[in-house]
Amino acid sequence: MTVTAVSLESDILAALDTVADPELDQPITELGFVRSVNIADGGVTVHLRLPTAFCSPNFAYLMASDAYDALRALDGIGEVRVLLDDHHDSDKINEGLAAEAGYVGTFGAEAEESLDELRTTFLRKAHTAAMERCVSVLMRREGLNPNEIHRLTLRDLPDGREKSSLMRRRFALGLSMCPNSKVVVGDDGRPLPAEAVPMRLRFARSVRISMEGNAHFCRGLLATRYDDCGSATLQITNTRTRSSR
Amino acid sequence: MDHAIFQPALLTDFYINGFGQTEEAFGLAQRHPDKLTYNHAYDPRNGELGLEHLRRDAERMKLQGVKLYTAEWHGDSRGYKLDDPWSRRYLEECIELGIRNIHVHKGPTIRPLDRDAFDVADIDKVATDYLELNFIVEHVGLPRLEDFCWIATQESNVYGGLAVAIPFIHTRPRYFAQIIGELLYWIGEDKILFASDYALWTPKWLVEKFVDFQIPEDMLGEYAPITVDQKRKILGLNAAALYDINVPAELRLATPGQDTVDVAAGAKEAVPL
Repeated sequence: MTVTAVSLESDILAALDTVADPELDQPITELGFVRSVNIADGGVTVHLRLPTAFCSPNFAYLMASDAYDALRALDGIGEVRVLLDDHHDSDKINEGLAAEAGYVGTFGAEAEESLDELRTTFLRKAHTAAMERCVSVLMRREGLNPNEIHRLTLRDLPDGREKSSLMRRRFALGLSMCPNSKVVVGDDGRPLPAEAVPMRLRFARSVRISMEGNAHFCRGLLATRYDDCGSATLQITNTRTRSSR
Repeated sequence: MDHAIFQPALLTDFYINGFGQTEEAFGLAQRHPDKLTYNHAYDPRNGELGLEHLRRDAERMKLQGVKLYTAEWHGDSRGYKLDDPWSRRYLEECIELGIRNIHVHKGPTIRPLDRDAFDVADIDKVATDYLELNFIVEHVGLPRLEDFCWIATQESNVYGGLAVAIPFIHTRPRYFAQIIGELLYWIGEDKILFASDYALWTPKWLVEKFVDFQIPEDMLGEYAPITVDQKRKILGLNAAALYDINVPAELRLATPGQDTVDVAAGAKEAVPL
């Protein structure tokens, strides 16, 4: 196998890593939603799978079309085909993606305008959960006084997974990235009065628990449905003979 | 089992004779009125004709409650919202007919696809507009537990039913601890109702597991332990209050307050008085 081929494989996986299940806020690669990647001379075919045949079609479409967009951005990839398997709307979504019909073109009368609002709703949830994780870590590790939380700024957060996750979500929502910005903010990114912070955090905890719980549940359903343990089973086949990209 | 309440689902697009067996269930409840209460099911997309049926059924069956499944497929429709115009007409008819307990099984309401299929905001709207009705939200809004809890803190007539959520007590006890811990905090012990998921399995083990259930020790920092009285309310006393079911003296709570709904800690914080 040539160096180029190896790097194309890792580029493809890296591209798919950037695609998240909006509802669970985890990459589709980690969730085991990528069933197979086939790299051939003409292009690349990716099969996706979900925990049930009746997972919400809007999220299914978002993940499939995000995967398509992420792959299309790769140099020299050739034709990209993303196929969603075993879903009650598989045919509709697969045909829509192949025809580049977009959301409204794919779903016709069942669609109204766009999925932007849906995406924002779940980005907000993801941000809320990430914010709570950052504060919890600080309270656990450094015994932060609950009365001090409203003063916390981004620069007070230790570097690490929790902080970078929070920063990515703030960026995605267009919230301030300034180190002097407050950590605990409303959905609109504005700082809250000190007395409103405990309730915001308590609710944020519920959001985190709910998202984490749903992710556990979906992983369980997927493992049962396909009788495997998720990402370990991602199959990559590479039959590409040409080395140029 | 002291008393059971039917919560039927029709699913007429999926089952030739329906998932719930209306006449058999009603007949059984008639033969054992001390043991069974029959709740009905309707689909507001049946329009005027369905309303007429509901009126007749309410009189014949002396209905106190109905069970709705918002994700039910119906011709081209793949679900409805509780605040759709026809659904509102049915809810208003329920008030007229003395049907006061509206059990809602929130499922994925697909149309339009633009919005979250599991969104529970329609509960908020109808609970505000129809204070005469109690809305018991089955599977406690899962997978939108947080949104359901938030809505329930704002509305005095929103209850949480544990259908579909309670079996996690077996497969994922720590997740169940979080669910029940969140519910107790946000909506409180007076507004949580046991459900058996009888159509899926015999519920004896669920009752026994719940009686024995406790918040795991390492989670006690986040949630208070569940008391015996809280379990009694959830397992039966709360439902008895909603359906005027007579509770034998020895099964009532020693402390008063079983039939008055207390405001949950989270609700007090969330809604400044």
